[in-house]
Amino acid sequence: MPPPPAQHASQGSSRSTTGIAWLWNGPCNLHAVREAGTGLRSFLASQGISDEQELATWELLISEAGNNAVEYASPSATPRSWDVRAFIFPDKISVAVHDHTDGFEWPDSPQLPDDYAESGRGLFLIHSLTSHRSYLRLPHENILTLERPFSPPTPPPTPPPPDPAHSLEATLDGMTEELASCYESLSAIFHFTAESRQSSTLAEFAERLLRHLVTVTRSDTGTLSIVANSELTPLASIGCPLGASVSSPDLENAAILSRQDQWIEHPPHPHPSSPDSPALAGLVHPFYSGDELMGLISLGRYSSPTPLNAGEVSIVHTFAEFLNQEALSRRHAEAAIAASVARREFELAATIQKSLEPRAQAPVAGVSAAGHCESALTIGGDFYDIIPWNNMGFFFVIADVMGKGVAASMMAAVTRSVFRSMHELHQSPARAVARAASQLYDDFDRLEMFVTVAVGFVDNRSRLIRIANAGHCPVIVADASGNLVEVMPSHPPIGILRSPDFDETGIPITKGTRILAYTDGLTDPRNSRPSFSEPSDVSSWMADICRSQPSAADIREQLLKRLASSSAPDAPALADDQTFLVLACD
Amino acid sequence: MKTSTANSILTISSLRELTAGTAAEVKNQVRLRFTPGLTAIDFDCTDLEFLDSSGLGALISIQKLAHERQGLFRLLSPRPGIMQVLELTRLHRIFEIVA
Repeated sequence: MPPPPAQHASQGSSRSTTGIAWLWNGPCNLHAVREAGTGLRSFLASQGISDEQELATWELLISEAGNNAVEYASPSATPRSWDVRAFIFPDKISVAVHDHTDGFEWPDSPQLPDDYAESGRGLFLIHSLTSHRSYLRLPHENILTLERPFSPPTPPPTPPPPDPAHSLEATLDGMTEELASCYESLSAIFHFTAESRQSSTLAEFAERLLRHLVTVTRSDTGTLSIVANSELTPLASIGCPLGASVSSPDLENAAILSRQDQWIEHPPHPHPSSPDSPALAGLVHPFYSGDELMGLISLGRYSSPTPLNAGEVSIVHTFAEFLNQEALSRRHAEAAIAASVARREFELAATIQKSLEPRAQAPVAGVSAAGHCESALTIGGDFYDIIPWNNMGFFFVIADVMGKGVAASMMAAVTRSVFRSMHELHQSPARAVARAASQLYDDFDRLEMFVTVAVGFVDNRSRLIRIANAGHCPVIVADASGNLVEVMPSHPPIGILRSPDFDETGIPITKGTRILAYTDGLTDPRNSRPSFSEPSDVSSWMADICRSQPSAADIREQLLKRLASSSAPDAPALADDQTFLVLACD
Repeated sequence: MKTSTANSILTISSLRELTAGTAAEVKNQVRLRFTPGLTAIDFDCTDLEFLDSSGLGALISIQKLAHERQGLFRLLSPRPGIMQVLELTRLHRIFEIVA
């Protein structure tokens, strides 16, 4: 039965166990002839036939066969379609051209015409270019069959172009893959949670999960780096040495700077499985916590140039977010431990510093002493010291190292030791301060610190007080009538000059002389407790209280009340250390 | 298809196919443009990708047109596929071919 009339060409292909078939059908005109020829060429090319000469030959054969069909169509007859049926067998290509024309007699051995003939070469070309040909004339149809030997191309032919059914199938495959990736992401979260509990270190955790990530994303290699000490540090690698790059430093920098995923795309290389070769495809994913770069994940495929699909990228992002939270959690835990250790160290230092304060001293030669030291922080830079001296009285020091905290407390301890070590100079405060300034200058200068110091020697046997003041608050000496002598700072603190000279002030002792040395914490306006507004207020308070002839301990207690010290239950913290020393001569 | 004239030569170029479907029109255009005074025809095959037996007939027809004026006909730069058809039909012997 002849095929129905057709005004437009159509084509299609199918595959069977014996070969691959292609069918073209179109109107009987010269335009359609060319369409059939190029159509057959495209079909053969789609089957992996890349030999240009073979493709051109078949295009020419269809052109010549089609021209004949058009040429011998009866002008009076209704135009009818013709069709081309191509078959690719394992050993040959066979093409059958079906037309519905009057046909013609096929010569047994077509010959070339005269050189200058303008026609008559078509059958010769068909004969010359085919290994077998046959022409069958039927009542309503002519069938010209052409064959050429065929060697299957290597590599094997690519699949035919997808038809609508294939497209639908591909869409369904994509949706299935998407659902699978969601499942993978959820699965990954549970997996990661379990891994987190089993890993003692972040590196161990990262390596376990990177191995999992490489597997589920069908990658061949992967690296993971995190930011530690402000540097991107390799943490784990799969399929390449630790520290190696799956992509390139440029691509990694681009990912960090752009804060976006960068895709690895390289042409195939001769040694696809070599770790030294760049990956054919892959992904570089930077991950952040706010604006802070936390790390970088790189995944690569050596065996395939196929990029990661959307589902696989989603898993990478899930992994990175989980790792991000894990890193932050561990960082906070480490910071808490470090803070705890530091606090413990601080408390230990404070205990040591407190132990260095003078113990309660029994009166020496009628001189009693009492003191107090409270640091704004757990430890501080203020200190005082009193040393009994050969039943004559006391040598005392009060000092305030610049700053607060650990550094100030360490330099306070050093300063205390220096003064303690110069026993032979305790009777001469000016010389003692000068030597201490000389010994301590390099240390304070290097640290860009200084210490104010007031040093005194109370000699009740010779009834004289000698005081040297290096940049410290006034030392107040009051008599029983409330008359005051204030020994003001006459020289810069220790640490300012390499070898300064100091003067000392000598004050006679009378019955009831009281001495108060203090640090500037007593007049610091930043302290949120009641305090003295300026040194003259301290002096006035001292003059008032000394008229009642209090003991050193009494003055200490009165002063603490005035200052509402931390002995009060709800006393607010200090902004500056408060230290004072009281001596009473009777 | 493009045609141009220079030094009494008509040059035909930019033709991708010369087949049964285009042969008649090409021959007609060449006859129209091969005006008196022109003595040679150059057929530039640089862009010619496909040639069938009808196209071969057209080339012979154009060659005859040039010979009628005692002029020359040349095929310029034919591609390997075109040369194969010419050689198969042995027309490479009667055309002057400039590679």
